[in-house]
Amino acid sequence: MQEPTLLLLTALADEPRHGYALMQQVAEISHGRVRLRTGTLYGALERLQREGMVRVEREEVVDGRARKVYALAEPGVTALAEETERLRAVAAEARRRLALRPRPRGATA
Amino acid sequence: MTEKQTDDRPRLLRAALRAYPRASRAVHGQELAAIYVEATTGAGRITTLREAVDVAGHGLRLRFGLGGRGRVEEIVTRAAPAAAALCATQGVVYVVALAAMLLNPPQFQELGTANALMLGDAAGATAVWVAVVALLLTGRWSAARILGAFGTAAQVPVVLAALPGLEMERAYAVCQALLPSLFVSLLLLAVPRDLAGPLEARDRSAMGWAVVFALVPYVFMPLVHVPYVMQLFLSFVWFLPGGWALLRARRGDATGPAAFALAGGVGVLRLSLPMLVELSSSRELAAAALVLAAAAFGWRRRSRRATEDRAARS
Repeated sequence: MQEPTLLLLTALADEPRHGYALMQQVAEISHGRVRLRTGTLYGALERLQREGMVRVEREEVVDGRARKVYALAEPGVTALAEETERLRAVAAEARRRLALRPRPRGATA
Repeated sequence: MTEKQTDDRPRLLRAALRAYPRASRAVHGQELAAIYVEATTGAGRITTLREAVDVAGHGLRLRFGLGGRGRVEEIVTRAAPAAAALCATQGVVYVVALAAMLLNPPQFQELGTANALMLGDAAGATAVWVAVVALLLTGRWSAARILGAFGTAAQVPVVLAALPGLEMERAYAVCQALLPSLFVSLLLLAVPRDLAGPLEARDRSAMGWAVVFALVPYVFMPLVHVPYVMQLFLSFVWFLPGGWALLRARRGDATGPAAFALAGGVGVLRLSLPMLVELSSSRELAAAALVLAAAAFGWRRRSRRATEDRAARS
């Protein structure tokens, strides 16, 4: 799973959100490292909908403009949980191996 | 969507939305506008321009049949690194072979301006594609796209300047020099930004196979002592990945073979097409162009219908 997809699914994990809120969440979760632009975000959401990972929760009109509110669908929840578990296992292994490294001479704990 | 709402949209967004197929624009235009307006409120001119370019890029992808129900986006994403590797390898082989030929005995003085320009173009393009491959391997897709696009654009005036003085057929020269770079640049640009990330093991493996596939035919060169037969083999071997992909298409997931066949388009454009141009009469070429135009028209109609179906469903 590429990072933008992981970030989008993570942004939807706690509650449904509309397009611009997703952009903000992705930037916030990645500490500003990943910024999805309008066309990229829309394309990614279309693809995730096609794959059944994301669904449209509702449509609303704000300032005379229609916008969709997206939510995580069940396959999206499963995919996110699996990816999170994979990352957690890698992080745990990295931590374990780092702990096994011999400490440089003179270093204090 | 009312006319008033359309007029309320910023000028840049209106221009970007023109890139979309009409059906998609009618259905998704309002939501795209809502996201765009929120994203660009208070933003500087460069950010606004980048947002508009991104919207237009998405529209163009839809217009060219990407983003449909099939796996075209995934195929293009997997094909682009392999195509870049193939383009770079073929370029290296060509430049090394040409340099070896010109050095023994030294013939650089007798090259003439046109041939020197073509040699410079080939060497420059090869350097660009080798750099693009390095950028892709380090996950820097944006830099790879920009370098590929600017490199290809820079080739155009050089090839055009060389054409009048060349002794070979012009169509042949253009096919060999420009079309592979143009094809790979377009492939790189067609990859959606959210799918363009660090290459996976399978992508690196496809790049490796592309390099092997580009080099293996030359191993047979010293073994086959009929140059014309060898030339025909080298020219048409590039249709093999397409045949393999068609055979695999019946057995479930054929994304990998399809991506490799698409990457093989570099070889078709660089070697098969110039050979076909040379072997065919102008009448046969016109018929082939007609068939290709009909196929492109059919593809466009199919993707437009798919877009309309999708728009109607959402």
